[in-house]
Amino acid sequence: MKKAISILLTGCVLLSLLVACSSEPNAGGSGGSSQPQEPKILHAVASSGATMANPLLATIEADTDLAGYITSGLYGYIPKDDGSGSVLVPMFAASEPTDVKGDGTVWQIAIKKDAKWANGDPINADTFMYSWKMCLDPVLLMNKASALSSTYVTISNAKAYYSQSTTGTPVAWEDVGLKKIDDYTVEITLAGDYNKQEVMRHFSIASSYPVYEPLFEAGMNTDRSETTYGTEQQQMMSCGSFVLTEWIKGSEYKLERNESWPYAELIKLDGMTVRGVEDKGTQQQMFDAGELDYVLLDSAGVEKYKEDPRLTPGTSGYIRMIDFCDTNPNQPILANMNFKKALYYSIDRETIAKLANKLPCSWLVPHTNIAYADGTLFRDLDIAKEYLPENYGYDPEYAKECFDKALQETGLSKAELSITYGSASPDFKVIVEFLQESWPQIFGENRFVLNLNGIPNAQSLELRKSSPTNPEAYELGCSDWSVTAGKYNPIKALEVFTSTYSRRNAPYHCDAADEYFKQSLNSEVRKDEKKLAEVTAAMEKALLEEVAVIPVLENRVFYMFSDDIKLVFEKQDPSLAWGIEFADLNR
Amino acid sequence: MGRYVLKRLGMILLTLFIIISLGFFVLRLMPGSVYDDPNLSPEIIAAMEAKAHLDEPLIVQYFYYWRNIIVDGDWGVSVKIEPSVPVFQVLRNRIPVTMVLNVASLAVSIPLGVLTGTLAALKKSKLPDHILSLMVVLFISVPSFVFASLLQYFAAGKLGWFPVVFQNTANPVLQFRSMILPILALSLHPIASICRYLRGELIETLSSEFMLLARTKGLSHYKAIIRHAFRNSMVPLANVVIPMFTHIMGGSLVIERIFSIPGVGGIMTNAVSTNDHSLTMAALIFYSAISLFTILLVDISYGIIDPRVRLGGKKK
Repeated sequence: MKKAISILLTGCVLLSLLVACSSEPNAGGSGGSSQPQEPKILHAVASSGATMANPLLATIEADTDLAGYITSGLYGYIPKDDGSGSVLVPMFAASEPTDVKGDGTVWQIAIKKDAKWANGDPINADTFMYSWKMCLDPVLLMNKASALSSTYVTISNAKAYYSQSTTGTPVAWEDVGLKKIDDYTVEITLAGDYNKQEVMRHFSIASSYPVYEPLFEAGMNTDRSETTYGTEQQQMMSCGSFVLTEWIKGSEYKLERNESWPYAELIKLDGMTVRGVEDKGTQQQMFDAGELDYVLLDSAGVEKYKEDPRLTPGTSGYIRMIDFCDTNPNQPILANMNFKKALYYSIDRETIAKLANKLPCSWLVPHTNIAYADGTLFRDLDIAKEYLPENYGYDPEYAKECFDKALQETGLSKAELSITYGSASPDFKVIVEFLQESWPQIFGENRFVLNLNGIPNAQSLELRKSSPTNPEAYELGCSDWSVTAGKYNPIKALEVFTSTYSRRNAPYHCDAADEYFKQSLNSEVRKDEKKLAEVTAAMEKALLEEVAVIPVLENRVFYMFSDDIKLVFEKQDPSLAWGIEFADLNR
Repeated sequence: MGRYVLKRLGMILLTLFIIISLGFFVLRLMPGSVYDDPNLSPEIIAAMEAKAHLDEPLIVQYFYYWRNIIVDGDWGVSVKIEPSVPVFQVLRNRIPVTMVLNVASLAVSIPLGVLTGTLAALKKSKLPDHILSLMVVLFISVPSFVFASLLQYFAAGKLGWFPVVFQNTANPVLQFRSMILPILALSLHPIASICRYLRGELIETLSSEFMLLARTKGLSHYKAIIRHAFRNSMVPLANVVIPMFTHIMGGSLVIERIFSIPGVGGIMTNAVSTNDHSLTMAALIFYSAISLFTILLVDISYGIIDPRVRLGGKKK
């Protein structure tokens, strides 16, 4: 027994010695103690460890961030000199695109002769042609094929090329509107006329990024249906603002400044370390311990730091909304316009927003969407404000009036409905629980009942998508949307509510909105940013007046930045967010 | 014994086949699509589904699944978690750190559990026994992730004695330090289980007649315990310790998430929630195989530890 105790005590002493020795200096700045000169390495965290660096396949945020740091395209965004916003500039392109025919259908892009990969190999027309061919390959089926084919512009025959395995119509690569003119010039033929800004935007997105052919081919399997390019550090080549120097997949990666990047002088950091940490509480603990330079907070974190001056709000472009399955034969009241208005005007969005730490929202185009090339947000335009109701649309007396009319028109004495929502979403939970209490208070306790139906997110989405063929799938539902293409073309954010949108998640319908969207496709409207903004505003107004859907909250996110970090923007930029890669550190 | 083991291995393979088949159909019947990215066009979704045979009837998909395994040795690639990477490669990259965590946890739990169980048995109804009983109740009732969060908050966050998360670094000392808290959190429940079990067994053994004979023969108290009492008490303990490995692996899922350990634990839940069917199947096969083989080990261990089992088998 005594021997056992002495062994235990010895073990404890050894353990405490290990704890005492080899401590690492704090990485973040919240400690604030003076440090000897060291490289400016920014320590960041992602909600999961990056596992894919191939820009043509990366979809989750951690992967797209990594791909974005180490790859660049023909065009891209950099901060303006005064830090007031960002500007779209040529990256590997030598200049803005040239309209060959003068009608906006054929564009040539010259490539910089000194453009190169991190290992010194040149980036030229062959690089981009190979990359785009692989992106659109009908056997590889890259995730970004549809984005390259059509986001801000539509490339001629690109969709027909990548989808030929299902359409059965063979399309040769030579028929696709992407051509090499010479070693440093590519030509793009579009299925329609577009302006210079649209072409530049299109070739600034990840789907147009180059891939390094030798490694891409080396990772290809025998039937050329998969490639392991971008799945390991040694199977990836960098050409972006940073070079990938170390990568422990699923855990952490380290970046170093890329001196051969065209705008390397704008990068103040020597490098970055990004850790994958799923648990939000752990992320916040790491920030408190000085191991991170900034962190994205969850609701609990926002509550904890709400008085902290370092707390910085931003937006993420998601609108949380309530939709109807108004074709449900068991609930004819859902098709009644007065009932829809009753629901719209009975939601106290400000109170719900306070509970959820989000923005109250009575609109459909989020604050992240830009209307004009100079960076003006759609939501800042007067035409986008004039039709919005007061008090974020909360008018309980008017709502009750509409509800009474609805009951009269449908011959009902009571409405009992269920609302289906993704139970993994805390915002939806806040919304539905609040409405379950407030709606009966407004409409009458014995006249309105709301039952909650929380199910897994995937199942909720599946139910709503099935409603065209299964009208009884659901009654009321919670959903959210953020459309990538809407960032620089706000009407794209509203396309999801048109009756012809192939991927819509609910049976939205509004004839007026369909008409306005058709108008926006007319090149005269599309190429004139002011006319387009007017049509967008008219479409949004029509959707709100017809109550095609009920917006409730706009997502707001909160960051904590350490005292050491010096951001390039004072407020979140729609294109570059906080421009972390352009930040500086005071240590 | 050899024939018995071979027979059991055959049963394991059959069980695995049934598990794989059931898992295959259950996963494919789950709601939600593999390709649910709203930015993908319907054409590319249709092409991807055709490539993965997801547009075929379920039985045809099942046929393709087994054909790929038997003919090409292809268990599929991950679609969401690690796109384009073969599923067992995904697991292979993550298994080592999970194994280290689980084996280290067992390596800590078993001696500490045996020590505390012995102490509790020897000091029955005295103060050490009461303290250890309280510890047992606490460690068994409170889930390991609660301890993990508390340890992380106090020992790492507030006191700064340890890193907040796992450090996958070339510095072995730092890496070891960052593993201490997760190993400790994972070990508390097994320590309490072993302690409780061994205490009960030892108390019963210590009061048995052969122990009285051993003392009468002239053996000292401690020699009698080590030579006779332990041996008899360890037989049922193997039944607890070996399956504990499987139990710990299940518990490590949450611990890995809290401490950001890039192990196998998170794979299963992430693969299920993202409809990454191939990877879910691979994880299912991995966990099932581990469970089945630990059960086999328990059965074999009985024969090794308890000669009565071997002799009984031979008589037949």
